Amino acid sequence: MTQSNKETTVDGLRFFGRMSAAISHDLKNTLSIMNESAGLIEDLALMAENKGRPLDPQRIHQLGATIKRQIQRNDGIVRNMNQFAHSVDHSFKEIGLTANLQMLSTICRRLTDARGVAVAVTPSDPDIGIVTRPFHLLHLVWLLLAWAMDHVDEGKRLSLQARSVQDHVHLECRGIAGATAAAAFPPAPWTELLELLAARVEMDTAQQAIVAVLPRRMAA
Amino acid sequence: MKSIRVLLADDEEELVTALVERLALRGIEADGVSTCEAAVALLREKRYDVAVLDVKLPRMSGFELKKQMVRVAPHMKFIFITGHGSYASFQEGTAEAGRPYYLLKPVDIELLVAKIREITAADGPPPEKEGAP
Repeated sequence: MTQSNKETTVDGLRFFGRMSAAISHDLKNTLSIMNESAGLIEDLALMAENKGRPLDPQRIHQLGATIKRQIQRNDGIVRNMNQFAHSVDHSFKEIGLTANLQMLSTICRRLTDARGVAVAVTPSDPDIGIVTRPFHLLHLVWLLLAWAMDHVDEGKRLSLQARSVQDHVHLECRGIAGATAAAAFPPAPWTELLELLAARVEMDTAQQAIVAVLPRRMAA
Repeated sequence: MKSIRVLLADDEEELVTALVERLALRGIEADGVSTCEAAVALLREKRYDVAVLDVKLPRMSGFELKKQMVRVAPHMKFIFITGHGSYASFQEGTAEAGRPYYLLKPVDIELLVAKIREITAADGPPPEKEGAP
C-alpha cells in the first residue's frame, strides 16, 4: 500500500467515524426526549397520587404523541444508519443517487446545522441509477459538502442535485460564493479518491456550483 | 428562601419543554430556548442563576454561548449537557464547567436538580425541596 493509499483509507475511516458519531448524537437526543417525556408522565402521576393534583388527560396525550414521534424519528435514524453501514458491503454496486444524497444529507444534518448551513437535495425523478463504489461516492459527497460549507454564499444554503449527461452523471453542489477562486479547487488530497471513482470535479462559476463528473456505469 | 432561576438551551424543543416542566415540579423556575440568539436575548431581559446548555447547538457551540452569556451576566453558573461522548468533547466540557457539571444525555433529572442546587449553593444556602413529586 502506498502512502497515498494509506491516507485515503484513513480519511475514509475518519469519514465513517464522523458520520457514525453524528448518528449516535441524534440517537442520544431522541432517547433524551423520550426519557424526559416518560419521566414527566411519571412525575404527573405521582403528583396526582401523592398531592392530589388533578391529572390533565390532554397533557398525557401530548406526551404520548411526543414519545411516538421520537420513536418514528429514531426508526428513520436507524434506517439511515443501516443503509450507510451497508455502503461498505460491495466494491461496486448500482445505487440510486438521490436516495443516497438524501440519506447522507440527513445523517450529517447536525454537522451542517452547526455551521448554520442548510442543505437541500433536489430529487431526480426517476432516481438516477449509478454503478459505482458506494462508500467512496458518499465520502466524495461529504468532501464536496464540507468544502462548500467553507465557501458558501451569504444565504448559507446549499443544494445537491444529480443529472444524467450522456454516459456520465453530474453531481452538483450549488450555493458557492461567487468570488470563490477556481484555482483552489479541487484540493490535492482528493486526487486518489477521485481516481478510485474514475471521477473529476470542476467548478462552475456561472452556476456558483462545484460539480463531480462520474461515470454512469463504472467498470469493475 | 432563595429561589433558583434556570435558563435552559437545547435545540431539541420537546426536550426543553419537558425539562422546564420537570424542574418546575421540583421547585426550580426555568425558562427554555432552542437557539443561542434566544438565550442571549432572554438573558438581557431576565436574571438567571444557572444556565444549562447543550454542548452542540446550531451555529454556535454551548461553550461559545457561555462566553457570550458571561459578558451579559458575569454572575451566572453553567452546567453542560451533551449527547456527544468523545474524549475531546469531555476534556473541553470539563475544562469549561468543571467535571461535576458536565452531564451526559439522557440526563437523570434528580442528578440535574442536585447539580443545580450544588452549583448555586456557593451564593447562599440551597433551598429546600418544594413540591417534588
